[in-house]
Amino acid sequence: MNFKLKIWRQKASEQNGKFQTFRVQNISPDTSFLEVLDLVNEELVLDKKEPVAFEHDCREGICGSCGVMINGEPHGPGKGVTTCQLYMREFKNNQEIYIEPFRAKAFSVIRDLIVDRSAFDRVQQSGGYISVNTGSAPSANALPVSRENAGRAFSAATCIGCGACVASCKNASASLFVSARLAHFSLLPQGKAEQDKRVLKMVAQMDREGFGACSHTGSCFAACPKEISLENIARMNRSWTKAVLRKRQGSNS
Amino acid sequence: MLDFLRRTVGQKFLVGLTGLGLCLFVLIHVSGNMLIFVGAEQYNLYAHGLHEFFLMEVFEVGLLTLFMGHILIALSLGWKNRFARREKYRHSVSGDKKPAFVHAALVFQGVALLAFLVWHLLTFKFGPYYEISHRGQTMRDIYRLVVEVFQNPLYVAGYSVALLILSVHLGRGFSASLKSLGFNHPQYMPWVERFGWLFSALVSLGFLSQPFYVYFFL
Ligand code: HEM
Ligand code: FES
Repeated sequence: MNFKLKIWRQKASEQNGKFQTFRVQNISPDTSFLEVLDLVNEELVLDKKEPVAFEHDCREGICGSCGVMINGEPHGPGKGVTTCQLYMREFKNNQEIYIEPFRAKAFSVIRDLIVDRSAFDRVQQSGGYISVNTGSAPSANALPVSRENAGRAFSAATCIGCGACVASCKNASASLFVSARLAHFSLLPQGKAEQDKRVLKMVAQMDREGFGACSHTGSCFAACPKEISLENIARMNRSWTKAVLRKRQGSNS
Repeated sequence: MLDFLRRTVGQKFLVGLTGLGLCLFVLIHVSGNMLIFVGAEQYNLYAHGLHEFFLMEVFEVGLLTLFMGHILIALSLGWKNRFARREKYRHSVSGDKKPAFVHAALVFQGVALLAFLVWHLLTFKFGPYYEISHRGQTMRDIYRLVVEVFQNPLYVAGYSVALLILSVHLGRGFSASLKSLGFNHPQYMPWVERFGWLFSALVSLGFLSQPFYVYFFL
């Protein structure tokens, strides 16, 4: 297969970028998308030119570092996959493929396709943990958790923090990410004790980072490689409201 | 409590709550308007009765608060949302499959509705004051004004456009407000969404029936 790649090139966050065109030929349909970028870079290096900077680590859809915008879709056309799990068979022969970084005020471009997603880390650090002593591992069935809640908490916990939700949202809202991180604690007994404090802090940090609000278009769900449910956003909204109404004067959350 | 104004989640809660309040208002408003099909006397008596009602001032202040709250908070959210992405995508974004006008421009729908609202109030509430006497009482002849205004095809056309925008705004807004308030369930939400569109269609058609009835049949 042959492709015309239009790849975003930008030297640093404060500089202007532009698309650079690369032609790649004789690509097997079973080549992965990142392997094609590797091929482009090999050529660039042989020509003594600057390779395209893109982020990647696990290449198996679990680290969440590889997200880029491919023809206007975060992680490209595959359903429920990350960029590293995308194969060229998803494209048509001779297709023009536009590759851009995720764009949001809170995600500044570091170089080419790499963006700074540390805003997610700061949201997580603001409250996405359990600090009460939950004891050592209890014996099986000592702590009752319904099968439904275990399933929901688990599926929220599959969020890999890739940022596709922010990238696809017209408001660059981080609601799906933040609500997934909240749900995987709040649905389990160990997370209940600090629930109010956690939701207030994480929402406050989300706002401080400059993410937009949720307009319920559902584009984040469509873009999410882990297909995190939109129900989590409503769950975040109601637990935030409850937490504000329960908050006492003088408490420091 | 200030958090409701300070945080996006709280602002959305308030936009949703005031939006639902406004839904109730438009429902009552459109039901009252249906009296035009009964006759001039009933129409005027209803309007007069509303103004005479002793709690009317309270309701008017409440309604103004709903509108201003909804509009100001929604605009400030829209402002924040616009700037949450400084640099736009060069290639169009296609993650979202619904037609763009349904929600991409909620803020623009809102601004258009605001312009309509001002125009609407200037036309009727602050428009020409005719008097008539029914059952021994003098009152405003609002029926006459309505019939006069909608003889003008420009008004009929303007109202049609505004109500089309309202129907889109309400159709999506109804279910969105419940999500903002924290309600979303895979079993019920599809029905809530359908109900929202049905509600918005009924309200808009109800409002529209008035200019069309006057223009074509009176
Ligand atoms: C008859 C009048 C109106 C009714 C019944 C109404 C109803 C609603 C409802 C139910 C929502 C959904 C709330 C949510 O997403 O949580 C909404 C959203 C919104 N409304 Fe209105 N509205 C009206 C007039 C206006 C006006 C005059 C504006 C003027 C600026 C406006 C601006 C907005 C905006 C910007 C949103 C979306 C906020 C967002 O999703 O970020 N609305 N409206
Ligand atoms: S490289 Fe780890 S998820 Fe793609």
